[in-house]
Amino acid sequence: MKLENGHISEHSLMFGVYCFMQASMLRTAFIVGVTKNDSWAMAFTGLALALVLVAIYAALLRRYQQKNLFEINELIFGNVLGKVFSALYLFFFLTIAALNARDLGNFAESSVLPGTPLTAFILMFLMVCVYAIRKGIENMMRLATVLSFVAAGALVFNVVLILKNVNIEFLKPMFQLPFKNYVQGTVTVAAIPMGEILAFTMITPMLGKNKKAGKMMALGLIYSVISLSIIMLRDIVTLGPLLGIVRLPSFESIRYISLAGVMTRMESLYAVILISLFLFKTVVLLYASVLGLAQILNFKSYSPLTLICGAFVLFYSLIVTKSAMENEEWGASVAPFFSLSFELMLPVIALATAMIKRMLKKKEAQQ
Amino acid sequence: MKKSKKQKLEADYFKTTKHRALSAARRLISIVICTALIFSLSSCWSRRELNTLAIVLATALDVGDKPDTVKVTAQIVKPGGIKASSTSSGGGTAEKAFSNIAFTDKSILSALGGFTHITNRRMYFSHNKVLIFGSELAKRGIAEGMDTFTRNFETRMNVYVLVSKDKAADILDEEIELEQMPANHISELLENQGLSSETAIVTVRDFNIATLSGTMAPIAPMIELYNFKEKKKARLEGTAVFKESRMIGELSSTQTRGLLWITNKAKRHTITIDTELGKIDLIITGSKGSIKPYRNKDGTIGIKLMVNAQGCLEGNETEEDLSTLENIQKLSELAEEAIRADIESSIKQAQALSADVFGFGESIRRDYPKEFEKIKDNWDQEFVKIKPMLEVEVFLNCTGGIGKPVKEGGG
Amino acid sequence: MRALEKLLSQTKKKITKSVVSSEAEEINPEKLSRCLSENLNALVKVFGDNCDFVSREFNFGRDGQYKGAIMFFDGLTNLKIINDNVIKPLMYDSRFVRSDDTGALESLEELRDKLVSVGDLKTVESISGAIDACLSGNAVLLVDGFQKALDISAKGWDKRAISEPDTETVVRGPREGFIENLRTNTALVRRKLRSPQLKIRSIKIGDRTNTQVNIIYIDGIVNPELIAEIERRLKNIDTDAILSAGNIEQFIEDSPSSVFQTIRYSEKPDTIVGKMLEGRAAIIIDGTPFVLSLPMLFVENFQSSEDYAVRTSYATTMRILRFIAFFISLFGPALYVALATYHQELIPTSLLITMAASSESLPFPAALETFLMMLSFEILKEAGVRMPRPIGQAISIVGALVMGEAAVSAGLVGAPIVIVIAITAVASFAIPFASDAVSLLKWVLLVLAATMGSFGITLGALAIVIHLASLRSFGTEYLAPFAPFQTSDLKDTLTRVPLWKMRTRPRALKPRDSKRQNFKIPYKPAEANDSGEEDRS
Repeated sequence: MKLENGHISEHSLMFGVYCFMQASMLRTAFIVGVTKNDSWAMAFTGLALALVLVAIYAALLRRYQQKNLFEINELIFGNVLGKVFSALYLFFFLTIAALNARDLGNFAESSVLPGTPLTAFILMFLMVCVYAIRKGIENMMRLATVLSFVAAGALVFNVVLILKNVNIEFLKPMFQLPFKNYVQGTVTVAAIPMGEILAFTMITPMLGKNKKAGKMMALGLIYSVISLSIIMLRDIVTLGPLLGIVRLPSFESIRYISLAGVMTRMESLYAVILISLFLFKTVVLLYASVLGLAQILNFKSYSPLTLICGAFVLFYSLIVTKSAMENEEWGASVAPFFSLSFELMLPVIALATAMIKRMLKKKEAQQ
Repeated sequence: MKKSKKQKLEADYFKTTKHRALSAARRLISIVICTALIFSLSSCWSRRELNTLAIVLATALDVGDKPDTVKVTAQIVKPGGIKASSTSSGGGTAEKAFSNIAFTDKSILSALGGFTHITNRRMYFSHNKVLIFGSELAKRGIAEGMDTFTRNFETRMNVYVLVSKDKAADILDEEIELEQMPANHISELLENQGLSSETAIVTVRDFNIATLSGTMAPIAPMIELYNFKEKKKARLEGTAVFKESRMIGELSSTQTRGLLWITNKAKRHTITIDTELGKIDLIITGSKGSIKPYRNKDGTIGIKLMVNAQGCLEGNETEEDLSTLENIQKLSELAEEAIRADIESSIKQAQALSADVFGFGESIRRDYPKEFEKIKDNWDQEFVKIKPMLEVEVFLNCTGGIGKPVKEGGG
Repeated sequence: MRALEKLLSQTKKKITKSVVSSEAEEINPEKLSRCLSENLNALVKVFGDNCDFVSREFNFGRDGQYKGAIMFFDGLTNLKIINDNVIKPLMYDSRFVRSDDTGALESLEELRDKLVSVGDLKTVESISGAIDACLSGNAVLLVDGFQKALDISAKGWDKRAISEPDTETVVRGPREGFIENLRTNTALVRRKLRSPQLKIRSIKIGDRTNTQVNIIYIDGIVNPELIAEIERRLKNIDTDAILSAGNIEQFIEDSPSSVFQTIRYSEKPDTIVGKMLEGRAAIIIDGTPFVLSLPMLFVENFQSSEDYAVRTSYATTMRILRFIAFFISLFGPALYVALATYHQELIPTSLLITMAASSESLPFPAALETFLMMLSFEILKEAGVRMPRPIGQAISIVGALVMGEAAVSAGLVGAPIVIVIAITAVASFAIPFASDAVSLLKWVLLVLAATMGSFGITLGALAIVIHLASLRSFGTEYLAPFAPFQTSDLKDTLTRVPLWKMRTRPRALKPRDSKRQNFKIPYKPAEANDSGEEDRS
């Protein structure tokens, strides 16, 4: 009997992208600091930019069916240069994996269990991540659908419960900030949570046919953008001017829920879902790194590298930023450019090279 | 032929089982080591047993005895007392279910640290419901208190903020009868204010939002002690008005009511109308207030206040049948008049204090951000000059359980 | 073929063991001899030491000219059949064969065709075949002069009556349950499924026990690859004894190290038939009333055959209740420990004060307290199951008193933890199939909760979910239809939609014929019904 090996459905990919994006809920603080009460709109403008990125990835994947990003690199640039490019991507994936692990650690340390060292959280978290990759990424992708429904359901639940405490007036005045802020907000949204779906290009070969990968990624992005803007709207109308001063706006707005003294302290539910989403995101990133590393080193199987990569991410996450403040500062200023250079520049170079190569070939053929 | 195949199979089988057994053993050992590590590394980091906690339900902040100090008084639950009083119900000599402890130091946090000198338990603020500032401290500035109680992850932003007329610590010593803890008494007192709408209910969040707006003056309800049958009890009375984190004045109950009408926070209220024939009680069952800035023809911004209330006729001392449409119309007008009076008095007081307690500035900023930029810097002077338009509408839609009054020979 | 080979080698072993003399070499173990006494000797040498082995020699024919012998095990056979349908026709009726008949027996088949009036008759040509026949409860008839023997099915041992199973009691629905007898069990299934497509295949497993194992399935519904896979795995079993369904289960399941069972068992024919109709196969094992059904999905832990007998709304409520019970029994103690030692802010204030009051003078930390109470409950449960029933009741009374009353009033443990443990225990009884896994995992979660609070519980729960998602049962994803998500299969998971709405079989099982029925609404007026039929045709 054929026991399926690593095949995922298109919907799994779509919901996977959704979960991946929802894990960035905490990062709304970056944008909120820049665009204040108009941040909800940044989700949509950011989407426009992110769709360009997806189009580039889709074009690459369409050209090289059944190949992942690292294999495509080697096909385009040849063995040596391709590996250099792959190594750059590997660095990027590992960095965002470490940043995510660190984010989770900071979150847990500050609001779940104050007083417990950061390392303990990240260690345990990464242990589960490694376990998940060992068990097969396709299983994780299959869980994405249910996880998406749970996350979306919890979001709706939270929004309904908080309705009593909202003040729509907080949305006003709309779009009064300097134009520069909106540009910055858009780029930040597009680069930090959205562009990171680049990691999915390591998984798309599992679809069997890469043709639909771009469409599914775009759909997942669109759904998640709706959620993201609902989250930001909720935070804005609940917190108002407080939005600018609290560290975790989404968390703080849920903390305020209190219905009849019973439906209260919902942030625990939020924390559980957030940890699950973080796990999903980190697993995808870690898987991309592990698989990529295995390909760079010409390993036959990636599983022996899983634990090593996990350990590396653990130590990397401990040194990647010194403090939550630095992380925020970095996220708001440098991160978009750092991310975009991997998410936009390298794929564009790859695509351009591929196109030129093809044109040259055609010319040769004609001659 | 078959045999050899079988033997090979068996050999393979043994090889794999041996391998499996080995890897299983290795896995088991690694799991044991990991568990042991997790145990030894992580246990007790942030563990706190229930019987090592001092659960704080209310905090009072006062000016300390020495200059430039603050006195923090915390009301903590005494679980033993809860048990005793619940088992010996009605016993007059029952042990108190709470205990108040105080410490004075240079700052709130250092005073909280100081509690470790006087209590063996860890102060636990997650269930703190009430934060009371003594008026002396309130006049000196409460920025430190608000920041501390917002910043800390243990505290929540739905803590009620109050200002006491005298020492805040004394409020926590009120002698109560129905409840076991003054903290519960005060918080539930506030939660019931919707029935009269004469006290603003303010949480740390509301206070912070007002503070952060820049133009709005934060408010907090006031609480005071009074003597009743030789027992000291707490009651809510009036509202404290803040500016730049300092208490600068008060609103009376009537003025508070006016404030609540406008800011859409009034829920129920009884209006008593004195007529020549006798008193008539109207109960407002719901109201909707709004502040609408509008642009005058000359480009300046005006404020329009609208209150839309529904109510019931609930008491009738007169012998008149008030359920006729004509009378109801008259009553509505009288009720409108009463509400208008409340609002005008509160605007007058606010302008006297030059404190924008209503958030006029905020509403202008939201609807006319460009115009607001111009007047933002001298908003205090602008606020005093504002003459808002008032539109009050009361709609009486029921007359309680009876239509005609209970009077001799009425039936 | 392999089974036969095994059997032969085993017979060889037995013969060499029991026969010490040098004659053993002269007997050809493969073939029956033409001489009756040689055959008798051979069989007596194999079974000679058994006091329950009966070997009866007699003469028959018109003139008693033929020598015959019948051999069987007393207790395994029905003596009435042997006496009335074999020995009587041979010894008595054969004398009245018509005079024009010479009375000469041409072949053994003649006996079979004319005299022995038993339904199930076979001819065997080897000694090993005869041995096998005797061991499985048949009688063997040997006649002098023939190199064959008759294998007469006269099975008749004592068996338990069909009764209501203890493990799966139902209020509505059939009460009968499987018993230890294989044929009775297959009959119970066949009685419910009167279809020529019901197929029952037989395999013998166990070098010593020679247990008959039947694969039973509905041809045309089930995925043929599944049957091939089951057969492959069953044939791979190389063991000497199969004593229960659990033995087979452990040999063929996909992940033996998992705490979750990936093969479902049932004692009720209606459950098994229901599973088969969904596209599963069943394995019936001789000697055990538990029938295995596979592949198994995670949701089957929460399904009961009664769900389909009661009203939809009630069945759905019960499903959800069982899921809740699962969560309570899994997370109950862990959540209590996490809340009481790490997250007091999550407990409503008044409850926290009550809990604080009851834990004021407790000697142990909450985690240790929970650990001890869980431990004592598990011991109590085990003792209650293992003890003879009358004592078991006494144990539960003593245990409940000691744990519930004395421990609390002595101030050793708090009242809340007793409540938590009690609720957890009751909840775990609501999900009998998952309770094994749950009773192990709750310890793991307790440790995680005691070390890392809710963070630990969350990660533990996630690891469990990932593990579940990675499990496979005979090529089917264990967590289907949740992961991979399959909307059409959700009808029989958290909810149980009306039966007439279950138009397709679960897709996850990859049935060959996925259409179950074509029924639009439960009731339609007559004219509408007619048009509906037109639609169908």
